[in-house]
Amino acid sequence: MDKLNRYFLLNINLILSRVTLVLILISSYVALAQQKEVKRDSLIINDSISGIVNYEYDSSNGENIFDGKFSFESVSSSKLKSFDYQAFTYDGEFSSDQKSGDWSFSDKKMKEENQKFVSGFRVGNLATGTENRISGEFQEGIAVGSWKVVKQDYVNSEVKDTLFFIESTFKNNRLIGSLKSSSNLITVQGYFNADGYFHGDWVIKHQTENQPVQENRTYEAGILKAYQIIIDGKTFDISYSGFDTTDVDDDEQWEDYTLQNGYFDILNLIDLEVEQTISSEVKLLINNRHQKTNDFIKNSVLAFSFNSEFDIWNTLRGSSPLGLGKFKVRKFEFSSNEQKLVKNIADDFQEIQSILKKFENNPKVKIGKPVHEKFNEAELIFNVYKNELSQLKRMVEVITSDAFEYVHREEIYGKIWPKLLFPVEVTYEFQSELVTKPHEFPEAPERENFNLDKASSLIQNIKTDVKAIDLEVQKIFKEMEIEKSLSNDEKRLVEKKGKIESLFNLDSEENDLNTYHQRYSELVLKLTESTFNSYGSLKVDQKKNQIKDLLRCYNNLLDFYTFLENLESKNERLDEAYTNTTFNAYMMVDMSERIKENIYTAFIESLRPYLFERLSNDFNCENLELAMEDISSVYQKMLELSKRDTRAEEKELRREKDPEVILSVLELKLKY
Amino acid sequence: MYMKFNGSIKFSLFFVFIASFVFSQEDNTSFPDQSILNAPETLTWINSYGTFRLSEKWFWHGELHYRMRENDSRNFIGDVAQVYNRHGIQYIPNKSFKFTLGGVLRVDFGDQSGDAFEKIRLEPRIWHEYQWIMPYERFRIYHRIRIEHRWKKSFQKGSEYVFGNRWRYKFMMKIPLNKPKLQPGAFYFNPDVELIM
Repeated sequence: MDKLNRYFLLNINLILSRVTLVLILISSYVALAQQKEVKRDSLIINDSISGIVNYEYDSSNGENIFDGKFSFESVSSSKLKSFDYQAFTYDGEFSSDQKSGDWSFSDKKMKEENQKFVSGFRVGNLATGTENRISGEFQEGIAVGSWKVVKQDYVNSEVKDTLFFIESTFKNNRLIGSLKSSSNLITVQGYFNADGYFHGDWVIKHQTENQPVQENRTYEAGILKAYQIIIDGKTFDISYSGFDTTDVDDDEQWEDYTLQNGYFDILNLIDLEVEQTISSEVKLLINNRHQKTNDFIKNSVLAFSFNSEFDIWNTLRGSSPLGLGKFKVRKFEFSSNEQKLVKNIADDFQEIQSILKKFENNPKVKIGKPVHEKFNEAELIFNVYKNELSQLKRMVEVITSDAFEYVHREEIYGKIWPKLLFPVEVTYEFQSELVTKPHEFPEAPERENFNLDKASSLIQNIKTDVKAIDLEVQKIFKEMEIEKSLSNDEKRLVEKKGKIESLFNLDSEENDLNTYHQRYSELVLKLTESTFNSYGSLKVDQKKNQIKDLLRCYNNLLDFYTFLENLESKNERLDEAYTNTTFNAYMMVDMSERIKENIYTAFIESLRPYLFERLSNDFNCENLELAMEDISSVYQKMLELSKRDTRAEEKELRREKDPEVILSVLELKLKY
Repeated sequence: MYMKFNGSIKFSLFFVFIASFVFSQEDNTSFPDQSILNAPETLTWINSYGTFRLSEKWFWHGELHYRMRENDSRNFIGDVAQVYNRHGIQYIPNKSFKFTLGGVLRVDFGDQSGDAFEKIRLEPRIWHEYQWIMPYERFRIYHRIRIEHRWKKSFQKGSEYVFGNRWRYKFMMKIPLNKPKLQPGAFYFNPDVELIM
């Protein structure tokens, strides 16, 4: 029995220990599994591409910390003919918000085909187009390992051709080691040293049908040491004027310069120099290949991180900008005076261009040429400058380029020197006659001692000359504008004068003039005539100052006609307002009697005659508007008084005949 | 012509006919063969007229007459001849027509002495009148038809009241003298002529 019991107990213990182990394992698994969660959300990247993101996060850190698998997809329809849809996708992983593991980015431009396909329980259309795909690896946000970019052509969803390929290695977030890049036209093979500088031989092969062309560019820790182009087996040694290819010296200022900074802008700044004697055809070919290679290297290396200028990896969090190779270039830093000169050249040149363009586009020039000789002269002089502008533009572009500070300037002044041919006199046609006039163009600088100072003086002198001519031209433009605006205003003035004369014409049978019109007719006509004559004797710029006032005066005279026309009805209204009418049933008559007689009489017998007399005695443009306002306000006041208790005023105005006293009692102030 | 009569005129003419018909039934007055003329005498009439508005178109018309006649010692203001009150309710539908209906109590003072004669006699009347007004810019012309139903008697003591109707047509003008039209403060000339039947 004991044995049985012991055996039973042993088995129980064994079973319990196993169950406990299983429970511990299950609970820990559950605990681990509960930490990762998946979220689907909308996301906008690069401020413009909106799509759907699926990502994992650690629930203990919150859903805003990416942790685990990450994918983003954006599909947008296109209005372009070349493709119907554009799709951006990211696939990768995050570890505590840092990119980690394998990552890929894809930009597809697709045109929908009619042919259908079935995948799982989905039906879709096949597509034709291109895909730009970048794949690489990150470790805690740092690019590492092998990276590649492939651009492929698809037809009916099948790869048809590889348009571009680049492969290299990243270490510690920068390109290190060999690089291979190829397209249908160019193949590049190069190397980055441990610090990420372009290093060693960079061999560029151009896939041409007739002449095989190869370029060899040799770098030493970012410094271009040698450059050769081999065409048809012939080697041409290339150099860049002013571009330092020597070793770094302590006295010199050398700087790291990247492709993004514009390294090739420095190389493209000045024409290449070829040591061997070459034909212009070869020179053209060399320049062409050189330019193409520069563009290819720049685009292919930057393709690791840029897609149509948007930074693929930095639009998403969790990594630092990639180091995409660098160069070492010598800087010839501007002195403060040189900086000032460069700025002056840029500003002055822009002003010259602006003046010439404005003159050229101004329709007044064409209109004014038959009348204004200056336009013909200015046009010819501006054309001389315009013809020389292409040379000056090249010079200004070089000088104002950021790359200019990275070349030895003394060595390139001769190359950017503008060969100007300014005439000593100009001959133009004016009113069917040829006119020849001397014109002092700026002195063209000599090539030998050309420098920044000379360039600045030249541009400044041209600007001074152009501005001086433009000033004279602008004066004529203004006069033309004044004349144009005057001619419109004068037309209106004459119309208004005619209307005034017609309205106040006492002899016209058409006019129904009341006594007020008749009283002022002569004054109005006299004022109209005298102001018109005075205006006519003015000079153009005086006319410009006067015309608005005169138009206003004539408007007032026209208003005055209506004002006088309405006066009779105003008088009637006032008469009614100061009349009390009651029906006398005995007489069967409406009996009217004057009310507030003292006020009414003071107005009718003293104040009103005074106001009109005053206007008659001082009838001019300045007073007319104010007089009308005054008379209107007196009538208005009289109307107001008819409606309120005026016992005090009536008492004061009893037998009062002095208009000034009446005005004071009625609390009125005249404006003139 | 008939079509031109307005409503108020038609109404007033109708009233005249009805009134004359009613009262003519009792008219048994006998007329002398030839006209009897009173001796001319001088009189003074002091009258006051007032019309007071009651509502938009209704008025109260009141008159007080004080009349004197000559006597042996004085012309014009010898003795009191009559005092009477004439009152009526007036309806004025427009400014060209008015109608009045009312009563009169006239007090006559006799001029005959002796016990056979009363010193005072009362004469009540019912009267109604129709007045048409012709307005002009400066003056007015009035046509008035007044019909009086009178109860009168002589001063002789014991005499009976005799009912009689009196038909009157009056043509009047009111012409302002010192003002351009009839208005407060205007003195006016008031010629009139009346046919009394």
